[in-house]
Amino acid sequence: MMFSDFQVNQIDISEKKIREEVIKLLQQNDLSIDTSLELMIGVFDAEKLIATGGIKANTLRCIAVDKKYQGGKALNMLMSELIKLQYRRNINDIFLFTKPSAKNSFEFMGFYVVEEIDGSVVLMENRPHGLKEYLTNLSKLRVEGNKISAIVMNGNPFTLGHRYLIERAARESDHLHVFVLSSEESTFPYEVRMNLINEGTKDIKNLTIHKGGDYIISNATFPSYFIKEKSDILHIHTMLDAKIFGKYIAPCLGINRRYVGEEPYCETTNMYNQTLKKLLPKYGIKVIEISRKTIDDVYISASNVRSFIAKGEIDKVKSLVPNSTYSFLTTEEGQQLINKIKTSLNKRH
Amino acid sequence: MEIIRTGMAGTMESSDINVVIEKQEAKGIKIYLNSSVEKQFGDQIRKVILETLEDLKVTNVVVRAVDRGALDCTIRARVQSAVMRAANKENELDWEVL
Amino acid sequence: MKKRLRRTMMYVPGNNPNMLAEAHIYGADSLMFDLEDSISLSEKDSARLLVYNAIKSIDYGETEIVVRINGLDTPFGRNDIKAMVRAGADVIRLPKTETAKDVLDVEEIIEEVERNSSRPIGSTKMMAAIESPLGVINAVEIAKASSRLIGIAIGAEDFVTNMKTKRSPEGIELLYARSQILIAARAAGICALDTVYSDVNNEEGFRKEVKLIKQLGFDGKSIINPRQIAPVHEIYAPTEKEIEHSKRVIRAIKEAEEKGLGVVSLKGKMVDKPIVERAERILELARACGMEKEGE
Repeated sequence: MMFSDFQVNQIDISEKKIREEVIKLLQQNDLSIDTSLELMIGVFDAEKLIATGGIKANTLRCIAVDKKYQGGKALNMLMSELIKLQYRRNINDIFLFTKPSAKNSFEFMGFYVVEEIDGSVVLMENRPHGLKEYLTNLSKLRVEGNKISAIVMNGNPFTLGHRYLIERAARESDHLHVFVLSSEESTFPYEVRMNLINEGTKDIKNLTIHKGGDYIISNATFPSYFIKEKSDILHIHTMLDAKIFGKYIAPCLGINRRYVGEEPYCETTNMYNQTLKKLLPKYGIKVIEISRKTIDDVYISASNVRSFIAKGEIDKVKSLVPNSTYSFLTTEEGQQLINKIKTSLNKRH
Repeated sequence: MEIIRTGMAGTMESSDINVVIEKQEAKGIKIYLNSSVEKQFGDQIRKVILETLEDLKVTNVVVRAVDRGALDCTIRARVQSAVMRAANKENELDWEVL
Repeated sequence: MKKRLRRTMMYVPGNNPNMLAEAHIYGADSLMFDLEDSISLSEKDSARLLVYNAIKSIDYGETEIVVRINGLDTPFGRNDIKAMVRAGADVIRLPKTETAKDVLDVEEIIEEVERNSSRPIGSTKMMAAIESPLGVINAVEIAKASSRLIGIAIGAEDFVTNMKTKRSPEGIELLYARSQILIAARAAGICALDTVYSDVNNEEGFRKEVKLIKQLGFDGKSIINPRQIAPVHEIYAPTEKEIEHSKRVIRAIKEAEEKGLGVVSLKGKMVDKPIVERAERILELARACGMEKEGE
């Protein structure tokens, strides 16, 4: 108490009563709930929830203030607490995706616009020149040439399909930059994926492998709680990702080609590829779609590999991945991951 | 004072100031200030931040501050806290130098 | 030294710059900046620095500045003392005091800091909060432990929990502890302060409790909201009749002194020391309440 009227508390979203209050508050602000939040807090006036906000990885999400309390101290308290929680977790680069109408409020809270898609989404960060600093570092890895290409991949885990795509792109280019998605949304941790890609491409000389970082936005980390029409999510994500890549990252490294793997299985990735083909040429980047490598008429994909692992058919994996990936799977660390994949699959059934 | 990691202190509530201190490669002290009273008091706030850093012998850092109309003594306190946290010395302050 | 009134001692959370800057304008007799229970573990360092800088820079006028420190059994207590003595706090308040040794341990550190700084030795006063059955039993020893002590206070929340009960509007569960602490304070010649009343919205209940503790003999109450100041000061204010009577007592004393009389009487009754002390206290209260001007 002590003359502050409002209290900030952590919210357990699995509790039905508070969950309903949170959803109501979000709805009042034209937002929906993000089910992937790692933690959520609320500002309370006595018992009443008047503001809420959540955290996932290095982003702040689902920030909403009751209409009757807007323009007051509720938002200040909420944002101060969220930021404090992030710093305490040693997360110093904080991002948020929101609708453009909320931009001013967050600028007032010390956030800066990275890039905006008119009417749809704005990406903000807590550093005044975060993107610029990132690009300054990235430009040190610039290699001159006529054909400078890029691939963005997850590599979960690195297969002969990935290898084929990289080999082909490298052969057709003066230099190739590969960006490995660094968010922890995949079965294989980033460190492992990165190592396996490094290991599996050692022999390719005109290649630089980069950490994807905060400005290559993966579909898995792009939040959609502020997008009203769920059918627009993919398009909005691709527009933002393509704009940041085309406007900043590509010119920084002189990239003029982007290779994507053809995607016969996953409709989302296929749509993403098709949209990139439309958007990136505006920035002088040619999109080249490579059909997938097949072995005995079967497409190689990381999801195939994961499902063989889950079923315990490790011998079938051997023909789909480079030796380096296969031998990793036989290490103790690899075995632990295999067990994790098996249990998570069994849980789903 | 050696800055080891990013240090943050203070809030964005009324009369407070949120201060983040970070090491930078470049020489000197760079201050980014976002203040509700920037026009009238921006220079004064920067001056207090610089003096406080000087007293603690901190150099080559970036300071990001979101000010909500903090008094000078509050600015000093928040900068000191952020520095001590950035130096991993939260509870080892030498009170004689303050 | 002029005797201080301590009718109201207002808690101010140590990590809130707004309250630290404004708390004194509401007119509480003492402010108690809190570094203990209202501050989360991860903010102990920044609250300490905030209070330190506030005390050094803000002009709190006549208001007494008390700081509630963390116990010496925490990693924060020693640093709290170092900072607050240097900052110039009037009073260091120990939480959860159980023995005279608790007081002496803190005093030792205070003295060490005074010796190493520009602060005169002995100028930092102390106050002990008693919040447990053991503390209540040792209240007399605690109250006499140090000449720096200006008062002891009862903290009821922990106490009632220890006693396996909870607080009631009538406060019967606190009667023994309150009495014990009062007697200890009076025997040692220091202040006795009552615990907080946390339901800020219940003014009627608050007034009832203030009347009770005034009748018991407490000097004042710890409060948590500026809204609680006026009711306490009002209840502690003397009546016109009391003031008039007190003035007559003081006048009679002066007259007797001028005439060189040893025995003073008023309306045929002898005026002895307790009557004079009571009259002085009432006039002091009256001045604090603005009912009388300074020097009258």
